[in-house]
Formats: sequence, C-alpha cells, structure tokens
Amino acid sequence: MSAPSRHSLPPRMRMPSALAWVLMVTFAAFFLQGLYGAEVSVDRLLRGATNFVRFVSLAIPPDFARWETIGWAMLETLNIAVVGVTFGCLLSIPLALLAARNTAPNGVIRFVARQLIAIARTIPDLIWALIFVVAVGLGPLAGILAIIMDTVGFVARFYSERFEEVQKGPAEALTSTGAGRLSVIAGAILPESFASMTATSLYSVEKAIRSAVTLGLVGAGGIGVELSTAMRLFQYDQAAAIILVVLVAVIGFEQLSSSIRKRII
Amino acid sequence: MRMPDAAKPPVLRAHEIHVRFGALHVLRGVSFDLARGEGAVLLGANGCGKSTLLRTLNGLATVESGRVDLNGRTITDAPSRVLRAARRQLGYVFQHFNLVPQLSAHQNVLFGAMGQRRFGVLSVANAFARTEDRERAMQCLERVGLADRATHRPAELSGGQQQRVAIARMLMQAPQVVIADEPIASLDPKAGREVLELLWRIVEEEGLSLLCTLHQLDLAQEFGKRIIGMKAGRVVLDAASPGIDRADLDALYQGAVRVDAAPTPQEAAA
Repeated sequence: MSAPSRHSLPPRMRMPSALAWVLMVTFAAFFLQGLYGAEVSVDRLLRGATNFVRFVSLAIPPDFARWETIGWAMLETLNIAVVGVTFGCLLSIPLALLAARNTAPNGVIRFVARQLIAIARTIPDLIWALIFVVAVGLGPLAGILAIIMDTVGFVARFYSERFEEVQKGPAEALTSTGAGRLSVIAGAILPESFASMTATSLYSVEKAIRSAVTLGLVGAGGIGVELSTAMRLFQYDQAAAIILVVLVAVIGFEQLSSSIRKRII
Repeated sequence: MRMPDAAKPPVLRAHEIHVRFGALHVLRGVSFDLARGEGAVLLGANGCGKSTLLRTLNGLATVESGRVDLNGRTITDAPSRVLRAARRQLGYVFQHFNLVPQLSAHQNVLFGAMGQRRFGVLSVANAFARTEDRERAMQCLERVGLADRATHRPAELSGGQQQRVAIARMLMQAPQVVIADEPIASLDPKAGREVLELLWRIVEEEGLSLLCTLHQLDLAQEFGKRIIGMKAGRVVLDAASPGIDRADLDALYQGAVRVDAAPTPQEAAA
C-alpha cells in the first residue's frame, strides 16, 4: 500500500451554515408535529386497510347500469374544461401582453396585470368554484368560470414569460418599417411564441379536465356531482364506474395532446 | 461628376447629436448631411458609436440633444405619428437580418409594407393582403434573385439569402433612405461581397440614399463614394472616397477609438 499523504484529508462533508441548521430543525419539528396531528397509529392503519378492502370488494365489479347518466356527466365535464380553457386562453393573451416587459405600455399597467394574474393563480380552483357557486348558482356555469380563473392564472403567466423571451430583432425590424405597436406584436412576437403558446394551452386543457372533475364535488357541474353522490350513498360500484370513465377520458386526452405537442414543437 | 444640388435641402440631416447611456457619453455632437441619391459608408471601430448613430436616425435610440431632419422636417422628439411616417422613408438593413423565423420569405417581404397600410399587420398578412401587394412582394424577391425561395423559412436559407430577403423587405417598404448596419458582418467574404453588390445596385437603380456601416476598408473604398469616419463618438473624417489616404482610414482603428475608453471633453480640457 502507498504511504499516507502528508496532507490532511479534505472533510467528507461541509458543515452546514447556522441558517441551514435552523431550517432543518424547523422542518423536522414541523414534520413531526404533522405526523402527530394526523394521529397516525397502527390500530388506525389496520382499520383503514380493512375499510379499503371492503370498499374495493363492494366496488368490483363496477356498475355501469347508469352508463347514460355517467356518459352525459363526463361530457359535461369535458365541456366545462374546453369552454373554460378557451375563454381562459383568449383572456390570457391581452393580459400577458400587458404583463410582459417588452409589450407592456408602461410599468404601472404591467404591475397591475401581473398582480391580477397572481391573484387568479394563488386562489385554488376549488375556492373559485365555491365563490362562483354562490355567485351564479349550482351547475356548469360556476365550473366554467372557475376554470377560466384557474387557466388565466397559469396560462397568462406562461404566455408573458414566453413573450419576454422572443428575439428583439424581428420586432425591431417591423418597428423600423413604421408599423404600430399592435402590428409589431401580431407580426413578430405572436408568431414567435405561437408553438409554445399552443403547447401551454393544450397542457392547460389536461389540467382543466382534472380540475373539472373535482369541481363537481362542490356542485359546479359535471361528473364530480355524480361521483360525490355515489360515494355518499355508499354505491361504491357506481363510484368505481365513474372513476374508470374519468381515468379513460383523462389518459385519452393526455395522449392526444402530447402527440399534438410533439408535432408542433 | 454630378454634384449634389447645394440649394436643395439634404434628404437626411443629423445636427449636433448627443446620446448618453447613463454615465457613458456615446455620441458627442455628431453632424452630417446625406444628399438624395448619395451612398456613404460609415467607418469606425467597435464601440465608437456607429450603431447608436444609425439607431438615432430612425428613432430607435433616444437623443439627449441635437436633432435629425428628414426632408427638412425634424423627427427627433416628434409625436409617434410623425415618427412612424418618417420611419416609412427610412429602410433599415440589419446585421442579423431580423426576419421573423416562423414566416416564409414571401411573408417577411410583405411585412415591409406594414407601416404603409392602414390596418398594419392585418393588411399585409398573407391571408388578407391585397393581390397587388402579394405580387409586388414577389417582384421584390425576384429582384434579389430569390423568387424560387418564396415559401422557404429563414432557417432554410443561407445567411446571404436571408440578408437578400431582408433587402427585398426594405425594397417592399419603398423608402427614400436606406440605413444598413453592418449588413455583411455575419456573412462569409464571398456572400458578403454579393450582398453588398446587390444592395448598392438596388440603391442606385432606385435612386435611394444609403448610409452603410462596414468593417472592410477595401470594400468601403470600393463601394462608398463618400466615407464618414467615427472615433470615440465623434465624426473625425468626412470626405469623398477616391481622395482619402489609406493611412487616414487605418487611423480610425488606432488609439482611443471606443466611447468608453476616450476621455470626456471635460477630462480632455483639464
């Protein structure tokens, strides 16, 4: 064996900073408190497992007797998602233009637009749905409005970030022909952003279908209403049928949208 | 040789232009006139203020003091309507071509007319453009020898071809003055020479004025009938090309040439 180096070995790990220690201890304390608060016990887990097995045994085979109702409800969910996302994306374009550094008319408008987008994004879709159920009553309209807000919060931010990334050159070239601001945006900035905007919009449809399912749980229309009713009446075989339909619809759309995205990018 | 008519106002006039970017005094009192039909080459080292000067001429850069006149009308600090009308008369050719990458060569050329049409982009988008505009764009492509590339996107064209599309876009704009900011700096020598010959030929055929920045002294002397030399934010040379000594051109690239290296007037006086 070779002789040991005359130099001392470098440490295996770096000593974390004081701040890192504080953060780690805080995290550990928070984690333990969460675990304690959830009252996790072997007894409860065992009972939960038994209940789960009972649910599964009642849910299989799924009961498709009400297939017509389930089908219409699923269609309504897809409608909510598509209509909501379409309006959401259309609203997002002007909002994103006002929020992007290179297209905003001035700093004040940009700040206001960014705050509006942030509010739309920070409030979860379920809470938007609760608010709109109060405002416009039970049914798909509340769901559509909730999806619009959720889509704007997410899509407008992505659009505006994309606008800020476009090359300056083409926009400058059109400006120097004497074109107005809107023409420059439509002629240079939108074409450059188009592929990424389409991909974002498709992704937001996927996201909206998933949220449209849960929005039904608070009465905002769609298949979630059926699911929550079936669960509450302990008709687990019907619930299983609904969950399967949702699964097929979501996976199907994800496949479709990813194949479209692959083509345009 | 036909001399420029002294009684006629110059088509483009820069008068005592000062531009400052923060602490940096980029243009330090630049003045020159460009006559109708005159082709001048602007020389100077990197960082001497050439590009900034060109950008002030069509209002892309903000002037601290001084003014730019186009056809006797001041366009510096003019309302945006006046500035846009002036920009229509100033065709710009960029170093990096600045074509819209997603659109065809033909559509990029059509966009040259964007500033002239009432509804801007809606009037020149291929789907809505008038047939005569679409035909004229095709003729512009023919003049730069790229009619067979009309449906190609910029990425499918060579650098020289892309710059020729940009020249066709400038032609579509039908300006009085052409500003070319290092139009061949991104091209190899052969393509660069071809583009420069094309640009000069079109400018002469159309009777346009041209202000073109270059880095090749040989080409500058060959093409420019007049050479304007800049050093550290000032015009230090302005003469008819045949009479200029090569040593005077070389001097533009020696010593304190950059704006950020040169002393300010106050420092120089101290």
